[in-house]
Parts: sequence; C-alpha cells; structure tokens
Amino acid sequence: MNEPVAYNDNVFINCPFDKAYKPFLWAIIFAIQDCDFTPRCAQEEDNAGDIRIQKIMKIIDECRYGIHDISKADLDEHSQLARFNMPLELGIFLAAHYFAPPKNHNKNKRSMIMDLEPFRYQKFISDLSGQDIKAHGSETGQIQVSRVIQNVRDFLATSSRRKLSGAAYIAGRYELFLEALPAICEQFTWEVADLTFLDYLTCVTAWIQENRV
Amino acid sequence: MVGGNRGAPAVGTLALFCYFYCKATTLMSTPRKTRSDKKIGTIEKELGISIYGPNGRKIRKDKTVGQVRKDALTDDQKIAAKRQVKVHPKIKTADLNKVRQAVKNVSQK
Repeated sequence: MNEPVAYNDNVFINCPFDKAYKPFLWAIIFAIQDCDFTPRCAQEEDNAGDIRIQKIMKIIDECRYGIHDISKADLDEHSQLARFNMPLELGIFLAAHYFAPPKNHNKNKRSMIMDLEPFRYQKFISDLSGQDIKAHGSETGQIQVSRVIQNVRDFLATSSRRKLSGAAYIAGRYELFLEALPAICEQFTWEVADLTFLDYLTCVTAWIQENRV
Repeated sequence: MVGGNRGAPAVGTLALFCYFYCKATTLMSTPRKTRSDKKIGTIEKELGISIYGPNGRKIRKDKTVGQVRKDALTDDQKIAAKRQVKVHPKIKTADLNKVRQAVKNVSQK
C-alpha cells in the first residue's frame, strides 16, 4: 500500500461537533494550520452517497497524526444517551496503527488523547490505562482554549520533531484571527456561527497566508 | 606530418575546458548578491533619509538589510516566517484567493 499524499502533514481531528464544543474545534483547527500541518476531519466530506464509516476510515488512513478529545462523556440533552463516535474513531485510529504490517505508513501513526482531567477516563474507558492523556480542563471543569492550543502545539512539536512557534504566540495569533473573522465573513454574507468546516478552514488558511508573522 | 598535428585540437579543447572550469568555479564560489545584502548606509545615501529601527533608534550603517530584518523578529516569528502554508486538498484555489482578497480588504480598513 502506497503512502497517501502529504501523509506526514495530515492531522485527524476526532472531537464532538456540537455547538458547545465549536470554539475548541476552531482553536484546534487554527493551531494545526498555524503549526503548518493540515487539519482533516469527518466534516470535510459532504457526500450523502458515501458510507460515513468508510469515509472516516479513508481519512484516518491518510493522516499520520490523530488528535482525539474524549471529554464528551455525558448524556445527550435530548436523547439522554451517551455518544460513542469519539471512542469508536479513536479505536479505529489505534487499530490502524497496531494492525499495520511492518514498513506500512500506518505504522508511523502518532496520537494524542485529551480529556477534562488526567485520570477521569479510567471511570468510563479504563482500557486506555497506560496511555498519556492530556488534560485541557480548568478547576471549574470547563475546557480552556489556551490549554487546547498548548496541547496541540506540544503534541505536534514532539511527535514530528519540527521546530514550531510557542503556544502563547499561536494563542495570540488566534485571538487576532477571531477579531478579523466577522469582517471577513461579512464580505461573503456568511454567518460566523454557521461556517462549515471547509469555509472556516479557508478563512484560517487565507488569514495565515496574509499574516505570516 | 599528419601524425604531428593530431594532438593540437585536443590541447586546445583542454585549454578551453580549463578556462571555463576556472571561470565557473570562481563565479560559484562568489556569494550571490541580493537586495538584502545592501548596507543601510548605502540605502540612506540613495534615498537621502535616515532609517530607524522598530525601537525608534537609528540602525548602524554597516548592517545589511537582511541582518536588520532578522534582528527585528522574535524567535517565534522567525520560525513562523519560514513555514509554508499548507492548503487542505478540498479547498479550491479560486475560493482561497477570494478569501485572501477579503482578508486584505479587512486589514487595509
């Protein structure tokens, strides 16, 4: 099996896609793009003809790095049921790495798992014991954007061994970008809250190209 | 007679080769001059004005533009300046260019 194009630059994002998590998803996308990698996620495909799990597996195959957020372990407001998409995609990513034949590109996979607290996962997904889980929650139990950016930047810098700018610098740039985003969207009559993954990523890429430092 | 002249073209070719080889190696060993190699003093003379750094103080005349540019950036900015900006495979170049133009318009305001 040949290595997919730009395999070493692709980062798979496995996180909740609900409204409450959107600010953190946006921060992850910005941090990945600002570190000169390419964010990939299941939302980039909008073809109803494809089977969703096959689409996800194809994207996972094309990504060397995986960022998994398993913090959404509570029940859904409407259905009162837990959502299992994140643990499922994490399992596929870990299995792709484990079952890959020697010298296959999937043998180089690197992943980072984030949760609110460092050892909370042991209560609901104890089979992950032994993995280094990064915490991104504050003392009040809320996710912090600055810690999300720090985790993403540190993971990419350590696992890729590339020289990257500091997390504080990236967080500062993210704030500047968020200030400019409404004005950018206004020119296309886009609503900031309704931006799709690809529209948001286009805005991020264009802003970084125009504001390199 | 014929046998005596046989070596002459070969000697000429060798001489030409040596000449061009020496010329090429001399040229290649000389560092290429770019705009950033210009000294601040030269630019000040050309423009007839004084040049000040980001801290508001005058820049030394013997520094090159490249050195000044490097000194003005922080370590994070130096790393950021070197990166290529990767584009997602699903983003169309035409769409990206439109948004880039919008970013330019916003930053000009």
